[in-house]
Amino acid sequence: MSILGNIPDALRLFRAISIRLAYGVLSLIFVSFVTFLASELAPGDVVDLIAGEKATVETKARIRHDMGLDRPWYTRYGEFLVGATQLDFGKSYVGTKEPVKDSIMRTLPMTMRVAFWAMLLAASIGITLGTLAAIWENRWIDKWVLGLSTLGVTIPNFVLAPILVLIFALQLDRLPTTWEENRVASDFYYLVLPVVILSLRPMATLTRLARASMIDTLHQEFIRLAQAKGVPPVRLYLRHGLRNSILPVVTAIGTSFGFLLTGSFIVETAFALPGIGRLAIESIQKRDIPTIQATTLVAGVLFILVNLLVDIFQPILDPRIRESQV
Amino acid sequence: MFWFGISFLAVVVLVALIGPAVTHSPFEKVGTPFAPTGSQFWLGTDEQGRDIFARLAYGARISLGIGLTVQALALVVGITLGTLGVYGPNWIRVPILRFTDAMFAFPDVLLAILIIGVWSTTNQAQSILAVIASLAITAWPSVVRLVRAQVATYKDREFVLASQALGASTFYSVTRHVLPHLGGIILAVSMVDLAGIILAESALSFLGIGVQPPIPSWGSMINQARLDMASHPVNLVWPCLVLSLTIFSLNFLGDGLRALSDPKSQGRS
Repeated sequence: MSILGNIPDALRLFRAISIRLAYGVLSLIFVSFVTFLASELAPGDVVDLIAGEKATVETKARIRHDMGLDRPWYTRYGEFLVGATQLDFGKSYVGTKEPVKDSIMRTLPMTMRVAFWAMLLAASIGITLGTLAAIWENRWIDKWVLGLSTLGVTIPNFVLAPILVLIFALQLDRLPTTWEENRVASDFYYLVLPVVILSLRPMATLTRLARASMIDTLHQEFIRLAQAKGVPPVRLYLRHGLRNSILPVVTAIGTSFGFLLTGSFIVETAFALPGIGRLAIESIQKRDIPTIQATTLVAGVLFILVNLLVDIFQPILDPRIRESQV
Repeated sequence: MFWFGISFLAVVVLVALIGPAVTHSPFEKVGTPFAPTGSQFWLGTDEQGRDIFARLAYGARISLGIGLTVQALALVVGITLGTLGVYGPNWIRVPILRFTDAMFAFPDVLLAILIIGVWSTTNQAQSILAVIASLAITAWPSVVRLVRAQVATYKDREFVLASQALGASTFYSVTRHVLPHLGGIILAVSMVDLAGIILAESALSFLGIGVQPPIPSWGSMINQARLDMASHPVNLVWPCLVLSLTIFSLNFLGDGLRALSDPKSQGRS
């Protein structure tokens, strides 16, 4: 059955996707509202922070008016939302008062780069290991994969980061310890540890899930039938097995992306990578609320978009989900 | 592995309870910096000459204390809202479920980081409260989902309907007949959740936005030891080891308890 083979099918798919899109938009509104609310409820007066101790009442009133803080909250939320769609979050409260947009644009590419490679590594190795473990269920390879994935889920990345630096950078002297402005080697050497460390937790989760899902699939009758018919093993496991077991894993890629985002806060701090996570932590330490809001919102929006993409792909990948989403 | 988990946790709890009392002060300089492991300082001293064992023990008190408080808060909110999400009238039920779903739009502990970011403080006592509040706000939605799904499976079971047919109020039949059945699974999931909360607390402290110095926390100890790891790698190993083994043990305990409460789940996932 092809996707656009007949009209009702395509309509159904379109409907399912629109519903999912509507939920995505609601999520975006919720996340933006909570982010906006956080600054409203923050203790202390922003104007005092900006104007300084000695400012007169008139100066404060003027700043308050210039910043629009004397208008009702819903007007300001509306403006926050409109600004956010253009990545305009106003100016930073501290330092050079740089527009927040500039610091986001400067740091986002690094985060995306590390996250992309980490996700790719996690998905490819996770699915491969999980599938192999399921094929040889309860044999030594399965036990090793399970053991390693348990380690991957339980060992925190901020424990792994310094320990791997200790081994590979300080003892073996193979890799640099942190990111530097003037790099002596190609970026690969600087990013390999951050990417590997960031990928381990999602990799372990995806491995366990791929294994469980593949085991479920392999125990079904159609697999036994295919085996009896004499389908060669590679075709059996890939076409009959993996194609049916991959869906829960694809869903989990979306959720794992969340751990990857918060994990990047840690990895970027540990390796001094100029990414959005490190920007967020620095702005928290400086109490720079517009930047805190912007980094949270950007991370939240990325998470929602990735999950949206995953969910939209699902009915396209799997006819069973297309059927059920009427 | 299950028994390893239980024994290790017992040791950690014991050390957290009596450790700080029988060793040096965890806050002050008590010896020369980087003193080696020995009879005076069991695990040596850190870069400021503070007893590492005493700091680990006090850190255990902080981590377990924060973890248990947050999990208790999440359970109270989660069980109440989860039950209302099944038995409540529509005008209560639907908003609860929608709001819970919406909370999942925030990945992992991002919301906790936002809350801490806005309320960040360098005051020590307040920093602990901020960590507890932000993690509790992040932790409750998953409890609601679990409780709601579980309560829903019991709602129409014969023994629940029978008690209602005999005239029991909804409140009575829920608290006396439905919720007791959830004990096993909630206990098992709580162990895994507790591991997640302790991990999150350590991560925040590692990032420097959690528990503020000089209060010791495993996460901030790792971050501190990282700076001197070229010359004194052993100081990095202790907090890493204790934290990892604690997370490990709680996960094994949770898996073991789940296997006990649900024999079908054995050998899967």
